[in-house]
Amino acid sequence: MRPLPARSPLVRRLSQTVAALPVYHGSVLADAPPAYTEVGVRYTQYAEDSLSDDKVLFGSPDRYDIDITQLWIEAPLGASWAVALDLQNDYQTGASPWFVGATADGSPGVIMSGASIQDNRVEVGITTRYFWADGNAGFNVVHSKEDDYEALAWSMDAAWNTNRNATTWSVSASSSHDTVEPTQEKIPVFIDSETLDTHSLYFGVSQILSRTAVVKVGLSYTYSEGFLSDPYKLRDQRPEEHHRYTLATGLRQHFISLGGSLHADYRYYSDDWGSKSHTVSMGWVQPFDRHTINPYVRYYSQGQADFFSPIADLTSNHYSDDYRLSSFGALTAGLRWTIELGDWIAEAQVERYVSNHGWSTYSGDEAPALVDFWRGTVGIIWRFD
Amino acid sequence: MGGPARVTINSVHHSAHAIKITIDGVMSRLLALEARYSRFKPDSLISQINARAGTGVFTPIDLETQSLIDLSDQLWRETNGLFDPTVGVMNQLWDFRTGRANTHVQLVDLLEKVGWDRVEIDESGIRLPEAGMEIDFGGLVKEFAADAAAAILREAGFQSALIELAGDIVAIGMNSHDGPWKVGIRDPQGPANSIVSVKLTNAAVCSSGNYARRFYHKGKFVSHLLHPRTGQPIDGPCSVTVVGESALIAGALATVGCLQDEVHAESWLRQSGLPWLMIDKKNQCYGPLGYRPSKPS
Repeated sequence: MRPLPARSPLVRRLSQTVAALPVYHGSVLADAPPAYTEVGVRYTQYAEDSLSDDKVLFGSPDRYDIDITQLWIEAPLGASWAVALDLQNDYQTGASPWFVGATADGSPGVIMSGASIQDNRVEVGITTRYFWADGNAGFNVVHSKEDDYEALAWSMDAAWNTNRNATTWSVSASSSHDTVEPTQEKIPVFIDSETLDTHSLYFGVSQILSRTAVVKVGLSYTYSEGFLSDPYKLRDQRPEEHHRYTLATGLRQHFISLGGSLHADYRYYSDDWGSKSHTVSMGWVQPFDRHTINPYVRYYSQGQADFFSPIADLTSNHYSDDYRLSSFGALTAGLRWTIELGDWIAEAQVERYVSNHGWSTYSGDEAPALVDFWRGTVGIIWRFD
Repeated sequence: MGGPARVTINSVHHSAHAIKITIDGVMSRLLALEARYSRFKPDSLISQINARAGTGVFTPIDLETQSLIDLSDQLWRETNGLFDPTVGVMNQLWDFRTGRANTHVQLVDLLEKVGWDRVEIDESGIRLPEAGMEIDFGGLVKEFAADAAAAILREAGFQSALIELAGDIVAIGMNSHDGPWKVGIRDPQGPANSIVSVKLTNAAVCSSGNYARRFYHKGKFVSHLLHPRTGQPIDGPCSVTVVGESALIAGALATVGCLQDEVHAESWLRQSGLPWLMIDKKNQCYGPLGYRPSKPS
């Protein structure tokens, strides 16, 4: 008797509906490669609001615009493998804060980086994944390159199911080696070439509570060493090590009578630079026939890094006036929509992000260059057997 | 479940007592599934659901029933509604003894009682919105029972066994001669004979067909399987057999094969990617398990 052939997408789809049954626990029905080959393309436009004139001491108030194009292919290989190729191109234009100075009355004002930059980044990633009865494991390599930055990263992850597939345990490890060679354009830079290395570990578990609810919790630790300052900021000297910790929890609750699901997530972040943050997000996923809409909101509250000040304190060993290290709060509201048309899925998403120093739950100094932005995405996906 | 059940076990490591306990466990499980899902038993879960049709009352369901519902839902969508667990009421259209339509029953009246997409499922359970609606998982439960029996034997450590439930067969390991289990596929012309033999090792083989239950209509034998939107007998193949990892999936694929005409059945079976056999109305065999790879188009 010849072995049975690799499961077809049809058999995978049918098998997945009964995989939770204890009768099929431990069988090859339990975990499986994707049921389809998927090819997708997505375009995102990210546009930061201009700074208000009263906050700009010098330079154009216009900030970054980024056009992001993504292409991906994911396909099953035989009965136990899947492979994915991800390509991304970012085209960035605009200016960013160079440093923060003092106005006549001593209040902070932003000096922008001058004429708009134009920068292109290309990223290529390959992922392979192996599936067995009780879990799966993946290996991923990513390379990204732009004029002044190159990164090579790898990651490994694994997930396995226990407790009759009601519990899933996940672990991952990743590492990245980055090289920064800033380009001298309208603003001076003071390094030729520097490197930084980042290593990360993650451990998580998800638990099916009932036929309609799943909870998950995850812990991660990230360590970076090397050149961690921003070479395009005049007053930015950060430590050469950075330890970061996160705790993330989530709930997925399906309401059968409504036909929709609530997605609720909380994330806590802390690092050895003194910064902490909370992120709370809530979303609702509602299918209508072939359509699905997904409105969501997110609240973010961050406390400033120890060495941050609105106007950098150059007498300290470490200092920065980078608004991203300041104390602020942010609200995000977004809407995602998809429609399934046979083997095709079209998607669109729009998101608005607004930040404000007064919305933070932490005390601290206000950075004058907090960012607000719009982000819009359209995409199309083709799935086939 | 309306048919014979046989379990064959080969073991030199298990005592007779252990084997008996395991067999008793298998029988208990099969009887429990029959008690739960048989529409002929008035206190079964299915009978409770059907009895409450049109009353607005939900019947609570557990993970096992939810999974069978999910599979039914997937099959309904994969077949554009051809696989429909609510189609049973359409049998009222026919007098199967005479092959004539029951003139006192109108299709338009029955159409209100058919439609899987109308079945309501929420946190409270399942309910049928119209009085007279019925659901029947008979197309899936027998195969699920065969898998459940195999799971009990595997958990008990048996590495060689054959479970046969009225034509749905699950093979565990090798037979007593260290070879694959050899299973015959029934000849529709002479059900006591085998038309093709299949060798199984850790696999299942399931057949669906109309040769056992069919009626004579307009000069020919037709299937007892009725189209959920027209109530007409489906002009499908005589028999479809599929070999798969589990009886539930193999049986579901075979059942759906019999719900279509022979051309679409072959396309469906090819899509499954599994070994299959289709016996057409002329008793010709097609498919990887048969004598001919495909039916001439």
